[in-house]
Parts: sequence; C-alpha cells; structure tokens
Amino acid sequence: MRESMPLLLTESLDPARRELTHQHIETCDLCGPEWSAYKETWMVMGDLPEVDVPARVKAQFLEGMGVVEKRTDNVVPFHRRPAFKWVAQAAAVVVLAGGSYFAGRENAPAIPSRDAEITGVRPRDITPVSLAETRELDAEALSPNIQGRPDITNVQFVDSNPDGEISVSFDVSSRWTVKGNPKDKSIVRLLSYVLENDATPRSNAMEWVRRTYSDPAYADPEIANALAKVLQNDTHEGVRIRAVEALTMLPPAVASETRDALIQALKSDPNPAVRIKAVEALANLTKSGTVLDPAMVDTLREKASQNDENLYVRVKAAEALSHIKP
Amino acid sequence: MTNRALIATIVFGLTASAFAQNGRKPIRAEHKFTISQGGSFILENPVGSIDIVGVDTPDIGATTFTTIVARTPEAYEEARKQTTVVIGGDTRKRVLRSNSAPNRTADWRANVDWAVRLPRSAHVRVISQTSVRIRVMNMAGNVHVSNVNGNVVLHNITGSAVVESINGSLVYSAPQLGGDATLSTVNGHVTASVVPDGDFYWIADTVRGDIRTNFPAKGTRNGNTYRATVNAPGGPTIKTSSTMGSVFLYEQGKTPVDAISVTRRAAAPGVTPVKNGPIIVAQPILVDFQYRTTLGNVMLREIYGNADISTGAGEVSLERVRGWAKIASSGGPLKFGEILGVLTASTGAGDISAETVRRGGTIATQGGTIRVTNVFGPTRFHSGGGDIIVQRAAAPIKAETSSGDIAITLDASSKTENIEAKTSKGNIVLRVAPGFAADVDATIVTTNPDADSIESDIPGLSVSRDQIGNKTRFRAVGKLNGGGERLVLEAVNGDIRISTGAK
Repeated sequence: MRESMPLLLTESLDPARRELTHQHIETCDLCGPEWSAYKETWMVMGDLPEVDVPARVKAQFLEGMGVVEKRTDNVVPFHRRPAFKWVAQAAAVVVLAGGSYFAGRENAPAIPSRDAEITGVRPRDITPVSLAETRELDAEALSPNIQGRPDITNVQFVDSNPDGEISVSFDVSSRWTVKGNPKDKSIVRLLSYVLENDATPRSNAMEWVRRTYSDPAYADPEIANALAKVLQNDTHEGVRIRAVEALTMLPPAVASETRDALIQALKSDPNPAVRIKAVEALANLTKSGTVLDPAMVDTLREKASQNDENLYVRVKAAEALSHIKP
Repeated sequence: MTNRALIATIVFGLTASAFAQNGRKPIRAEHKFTISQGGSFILENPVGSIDIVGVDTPDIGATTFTTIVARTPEAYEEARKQTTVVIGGDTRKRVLRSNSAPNRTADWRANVDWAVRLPRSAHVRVISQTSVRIRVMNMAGNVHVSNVNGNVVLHNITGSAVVESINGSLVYSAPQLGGDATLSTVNGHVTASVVPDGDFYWIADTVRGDIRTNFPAKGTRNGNTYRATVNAPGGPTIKTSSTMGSVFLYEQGKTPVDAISVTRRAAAPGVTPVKNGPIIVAQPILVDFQYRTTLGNVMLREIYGNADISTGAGEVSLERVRGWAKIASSGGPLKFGEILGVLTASTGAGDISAETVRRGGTIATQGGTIRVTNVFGPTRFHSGGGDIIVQRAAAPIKAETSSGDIAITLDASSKTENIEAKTSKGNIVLRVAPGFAADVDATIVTTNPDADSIESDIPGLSVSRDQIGNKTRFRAVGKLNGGGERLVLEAVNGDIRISTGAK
C-alpha cells in the first residue's frame, strides 16, 4: 500500500485503486499518519524555492551517467586546494571564538552562581466565559464539535455580507455546571443573579444559599445584598420570608449592610412573619454592636410602641432597642 | 538596681497620675444670654446629663461641665479641640448645642453635662442620646424631651409635657394640670404623680409590665391598653406607655403602697388575672397543664396529660404531650416534638414546626412557615403567608396558604388519600408512591403560561386550557392508577407537580 502513496499524491492512480487506497488509509492506524506525513512533505516541497544545481555536482552527475559535457575554450578550470581550505577555516574559527570570549569577559555583568529556584508560577491561560443574554461569535471561535444534543430553536439565517460571511442565530438550551469555591467571585455573582431573578424554584435557591453562606468563612456582602433586594421587591410572601430568614442567618459583619432592607420590611411588610424575622435580624445586629442610624432607631421605637402591631414584633423591637449602646 | 526601679516606678506613677487628672478633670464654662418672655429654649446634647430649672429671672444662665477621658495626652488635646459648645438662635428661640465629634477616635470620649437656669415661662425642648439623668423642673411652659439611654425626671411641670425615651424610666409630677402629658418609653417604667383632685383622662399601655394606680379610676382595659376617667370627666389627657416596663399613676401626697393593678380592677368577677412572664419546666408534668400569660415564652419538656396554653406574645416549645394540645400565641413561633393527641395550634405570626402529630388536628399561622415531619391523623394547615411542608403524611391533609409553596410527601405505603392543597401564590409539589391512586382535579391560574405548568409522573390526566381575562387557566382532571380518593390541587402563578421520585 505504501508504494501507492506517491502515486496517489501525484494523482497517478486509476479511480478504482485511488478509492481503495483512500479507504485503506482511513482505516489503517499505520498508513494514516504516514499518508499525512506524505501530504505535508509534498506541500512543503511545493513551497520550497527552486535552487540551481552547483556546477561541480552537475558535472559529477553527468559524468556518472556517461554524458560528457563539452567545455568551451574560454573557461579556465578552477582546481580545489583542500589543504589551504582547512587551514583557513581553522584560523577563522580560532579568531571568532577567541574574540567572542574576550569580548564577553570584558562586557558581561557578573552573575553570581546560585541554586535554581521557582520564583513564580504563571497560571494557565483561561479565557473566562460569561453568561450572556445574547452572544456573537466568529465561526473560528466555535469548536466544530457539538457535544450531546443541545436543544436549538428559533433559528434565523442571514445571507452573506460583502465579505462573504453568513450568520446563523439561534436559541440554545444547555445545562451548565459551574464548580468552584463558594467565595469565588463568579460563583457569588451567579448565585446573586439567581436570587434576584425569577429563577425557579427560588425558595430552594435561598435555602441553599442560607446553608452555605451562613458559614462566616464564606460570608459575602453581595449575597446579603441580593437577599435584601429579594426582601424588598418580591411579591411572593413565602419568598420574602425565606429571604429574611437567610439574612438572619448571615454573619452580622456582612448582614449589617442590609439593615435598610430590614427596617423597610419591619416598617411596611404586610406579612407579620416577615416583620418578626426582620426585627429578629435587627436585634441580632444591634446585639453584635452594629450601629443604627437615628431613623432606624425611630422606626424600632415606633414599632415597639405601636398598639396595633403584633405583640411579638413589639417585644422584639424593644429587645433590639435595649442593645443600643451609648 | 532596686533604687533605680523604685525611682522609675515613682516617676511613672506621677506621670500617670498627672495625666489621669488631666484626662478626667471637668472643664467648666459659664454662658449667659437673654430670652424673651415665652421664648423657646432648645438644647441638643448627645452625651451628658442635663439639669434645667425654671426660675423667676429674665435671662438664661447655663453652666457646662465637659468631661474628657483620654488614653494619651495627644488624644486629650484632640478631644478638647473637637468637643465644642455652640450657642445660636435669637431671643425668641435660643439654641444650645454641644458637639462631640462624631468621627472621634477610640482613644477618647467626652460628655457635656449641663446646668441651666431659665425663665419659668420658657418652652423647653431637649434632644439627647445618652445621659445619666435629664431633669427638668419648675417649668410653666411646654416641655418636650427626647432621649435614648437614661432616665428622665420632670418635676413640678404645669404646662404640657412630652417625653419620648427608649432605654430609661420616666418620672413626672404635676402640681396642677395645665396641659396634656405624653410619657412613653420602651425599656423602662413610667411613674406619674398628679394632684389628687385633678380631673383628667388617663390612657396607660404596657405589653410586659403592670398598670397600677391609687386613683379611683374608672376605666376599661382593651388588650394592653387601659383607658380611664379620673375624678370628674374632662380635663387634660395623661398618656403613659411603656412597652416592657410598668406604668404607675399616683396621687401626690399619698403613699404609693396602696396602688393596685388596674388589671385586677378591670377583670370581670371570678376571672383570675392572667399570669405574666415566661415559664420553663424541665421536668415532666404528670397532670393536665393549663397556662395563660399575656407575654412570655413557654418551654415545657413533657406533659402526661393535656396541654392548654396561651400566650399574648412569645414562643411555645413542647417536647411531648401525651394527651391533646391546644396551643395559642398571638405572636411567636411554636415548636412541637411529638403530640400524641389532637393538636390545635395557632399563632398570630411565626413559624410552626412539629416532629410528629399522631392524631392530626389544626395548625395555623397568620404568617410563617409550617413544617411537619410526620402526620398520622387528618390535619388542616393554614398559613397567612409562608410555605407549608409536610414530609410524611399518612392521613387526609388540607393545606392552604395565601402565599407560599406547598410540599406534601405521602407515606410510601399510602395507596390513596384525600388531599386538598391550595396556594394563592406559589407552587404545589405532591410526592407519592408510583402506585398511588386518586381522582385528580388540579388547576393553575397564571399570568405566565409559558412558565407555569401541571406535571404528573403518573399518567392519566387530561389537561385543558382556557383564557380568563389576562390569565390562563390550566385544569388537569383524571384518574391516577384507576382512581381513588379526591386530590384537589389549586395554585395561582405557580406549578403543580405530582412526583413519584424521591425528590
């Protein structure tokens, strides 16, 4: 089969043999790489410049072939002098090496000898992938391999532009799994987005966030702020209850930034359970030494004194106020 | 060597002593200015005591005592520079303000005590954060005091008075009633004493404390508030309220010992006044247990008989009740372990959790999450807003929430069960065994028909869809595994899922 490769390369095989040879190359583990090497060599050869054959080599070749080239009379033959050549080459080497040595010795900075050590590690280059509502890619940035069977819908085609490029737009559903430390910014941002947007089921997300981020080692203000936004904006009382529960469990250091949301919930949330949990969270904050501004103190005082407020809320508001330090 | 150490100690001691004297010595300053007849005097003092006395002179005389406590001489100097007294306004409205720099370092603190003498007719406004005491006396004008920490004493006040405090007690006395008085604090007591023959209207309010008086008050108590007419109808209103403390109203010149609680006075004949305060019992209670309190947590381990408990506000925790349990709280979470009899539990607001409810019952909260691990008797759940989660049910269930998810897992051995679950805003998830049989009537009404759906892992449902205004209604009816008990599920803006999986 190997002898057929040059013929295949030069397209000298008949159609039947050509097809057989191709089929064999596609299935044979040995011939496949060799054929690739052949093709690569052939292509490289095609790119190489044509060089004239030296006269001496040409003469030797023709002499070996028995062809005598007729010399013209006005050409004086040049005879090689091997001994002179060797001496000249040796002298040149000595001059170059010696000169380089002395030049380097005089000019190079002295580098003290020391043991090799690793001074730094350069991380592997990772191009972060961002989640986006719409994305535009050059075709060469998209791998030709399609993994699994992603659901592609809403496909639109755009004819070629003056540069000859075509476009295909579509929606694709694919499942993503993002792994990382809970403190990784990308994880925190992703979870905040999930909390703030109406992803289903959000109550589960909040329960999971509460369990994970109540650990002081993972506490993050961005998570706390996301929960505060849910508490302020969600129309779903069950979700607001979960949000304020999660805020209550967060370490005071990160939850203190959310006290505005807690005060607002205490002040105006129609659900008494949300108000109870908000006032409990505020009590925890004041207990931990978080300073409340005068407006917040006023709100707590109003709640503690409000006759038509749930008694438990009043008592908890009073409890929160009792922790206010001079 | 010994001498050197001794000398060093003496020098160090003298230096420290000198600094300590500098660091704590009050700096006294006198201020004098005029105020017109009936003018207003406003004093803002964040930290420090205040003593204001009404006198018969036309001018104001104020003395300030600035006390600085500093760790180092440099901090002391910084404190001196940053603690200032500002005098402003005019003769109609005189404003005095002490500034103790809000951005001070932790190396020093300062407070300014005030002693003020001003015309009796002036109106007084005091704004303070923390004080040992604020005292205003002998004033005929109106008095208004706001404070956070510290006691407030108003003595011999004949004009109207308003005191708003948070952590401190209030004492008020009026030799004659020239105006209304509103005295309120959160964590502290309120004591008012007025002339015996004064006619006035009295409103007293407290959540935790008592309301006592030795006046012949005729009034009624509604919840935590007592309203009464003292002596003849009419006259000014004295409003006394403390969230966590008690309220007292005394006749001037009489001993307060004979004051009695208006709770007892207002109670109907034969009714025992409710107990106040929490109760914690770690030992088993071998008989029926009944307890009423207006405020306080109830923590009990085990009751061999029945439990009948109510609290105005507080948490109730029962580890085990062998009989029935009737538990009510106006606000606060309820936590139960195992209730062998029928459970009737309700709270005005708060979560309810139970480990095992053997005979079923009714569990209701006006706002909060309900979580029950095991239910073996017919049970009705209601939440005014919050999730309802039943992890294992082997009995008919009726669950309803105005906003929240409902998740019910039926016991694996349950072949069919009467279940009704309704949420006005949320999802319903029912987990059943693959062989579960029921006659299903499931409905969702949604404004987002692409997002909300009815799904069942058990075939047999036919789903219809119709439009009601801007809402879409999906209704799934049919028989699961040949049919069985009724299964009614209704959700608004949420999914309904009948699942046979573990999750």
